[in-house]
Amino acid sequence: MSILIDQNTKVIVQGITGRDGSFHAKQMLEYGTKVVGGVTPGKGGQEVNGIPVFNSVKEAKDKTGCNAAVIYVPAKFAKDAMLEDIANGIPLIICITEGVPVLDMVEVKKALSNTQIRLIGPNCPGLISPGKSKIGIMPGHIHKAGDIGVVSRSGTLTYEVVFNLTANGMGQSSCVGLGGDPIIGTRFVDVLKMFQEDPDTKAIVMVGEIGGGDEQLAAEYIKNHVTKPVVSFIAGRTAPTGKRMGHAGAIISSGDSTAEAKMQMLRDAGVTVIDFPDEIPQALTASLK
Amino acid sequence: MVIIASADGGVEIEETAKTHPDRIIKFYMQGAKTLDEARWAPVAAQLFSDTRLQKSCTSILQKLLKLFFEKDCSLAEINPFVINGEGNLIAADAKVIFDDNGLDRHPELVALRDMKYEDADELEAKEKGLSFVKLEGNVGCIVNGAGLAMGTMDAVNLLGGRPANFLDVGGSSNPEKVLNALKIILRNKDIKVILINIFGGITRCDDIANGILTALKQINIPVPLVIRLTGTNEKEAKALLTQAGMTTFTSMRQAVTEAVKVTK
Repeated sequence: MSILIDQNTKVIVQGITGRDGSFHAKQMLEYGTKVVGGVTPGKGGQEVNGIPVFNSVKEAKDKTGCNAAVIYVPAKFAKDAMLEDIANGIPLIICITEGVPVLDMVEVKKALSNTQIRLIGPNCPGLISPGKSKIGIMPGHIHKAGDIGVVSRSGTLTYEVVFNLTANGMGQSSCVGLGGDPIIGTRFVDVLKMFQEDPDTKAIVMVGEIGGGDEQLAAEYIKNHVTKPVVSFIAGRTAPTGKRMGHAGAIISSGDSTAEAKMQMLRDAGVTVIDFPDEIPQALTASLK
Repeated sequence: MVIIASADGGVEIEETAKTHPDRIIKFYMQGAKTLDEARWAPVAAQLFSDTRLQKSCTSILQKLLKLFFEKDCSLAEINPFVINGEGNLIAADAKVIFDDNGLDRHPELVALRDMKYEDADELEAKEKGLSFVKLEGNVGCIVNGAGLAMGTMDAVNLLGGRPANFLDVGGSSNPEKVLNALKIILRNKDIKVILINIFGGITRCDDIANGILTALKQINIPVPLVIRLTGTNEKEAKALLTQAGMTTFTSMRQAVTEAVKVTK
């Protein structure tokens, strides 16, 4: 079945006339995603790869009936792009942009509260339901439709994991990139719940990293609510304390945000935690027996 | 957003959190940017019995909050608050952490950087669009993507080697980045091998390959390069490198194993 997006999802691309927006809009379209419009204020009326451009999210929504938006605008405009989506009731927002200030995200989270709107990201590769829809920058060709749900804070590390799954004949139901920032719209527990409730997802792969408390919360959730097998890889075992490792959220600031601490908590919750991404397929096979 | 306060000043709050968690007060801002003084009043009373000091503390805290929001801080800490000889409350020491993502809108803060306390290589890398953290080891790493870069360091360690650094070349395929990455890493004379681990999604493998070949022509690379390229345009990339007499790996595990082997 897949979660969040499928062949019927209609997405608009904010920042479609920019270099990244136009490139990825074309890639998404080629994958088969229903890209129904783009938004760049001032460029309404233009077309990018046959996709109509509108001046505002309101206009785009009115004209296309879109139910998702993906954001490729620069960091300093990302907050406004998200707020515009929220104001127009776009139910699913995916923010690819890296570099969004934390206090901007605090404002966005506040605007999201008391709504049913789901934000994924920022600083994320997006999400894909293989064979149905791709909203983001991941390479579609390494994915394969199947019944393994993948949720991750990373981009290329996720591709590494997916590559290994596909090579072993294990297709994916949906792959969700949560993003590398400290404040994100959707967290591990949110996606774990969706995968647990998705009849077509048989097992879950969770890719975490140092920093923050999301994996710890996930461990607690898994212990109490997840019956499907979960296999996890946590990156950053060799990361030094106090240093930001690329991702804004990947910084060890306390004892329990180290990779080892997270791995232990997950193991205590019944998760199979492996040491190397290529060990995931074998671990899944063992846990699905 | 939370204000964490404790009457046990002058000590590491993480220590107090472990030994005397009851001595730590957490006051959640609930979306507000200024202190709701009515809600804060009982907390001030817990920290200071003297009403004059409570007022003083509240006033200083309002200013600290203003700093926090205006300057895009991640942390703004006064520790300790001290009552001086005249009986007045002053901030005797402070610590502020600025959100790296907020610095673009605060050139006045960037101008305050004290280079004595920064690693010049790490800053230079950042200016060139690379993320770089020095470690102590001899396997240099160049990877695309922070998660994969961390995973690569971990893999080197797991397979018996010592990673020399974390380095994320980022999403674009710009060959300049590969050249800059190599230059920065090679300043470390302990390096015995450089492992290049690329999973090309948006990053095109042939762009990386061209970056490597260009670098080989422009700078002296005195150590072996162990290259793994998988993903977009990997065939073209392998062809380019094979032509230049170099081998490439498709498996991350094999590449890491080889790199570690070189150091032994």
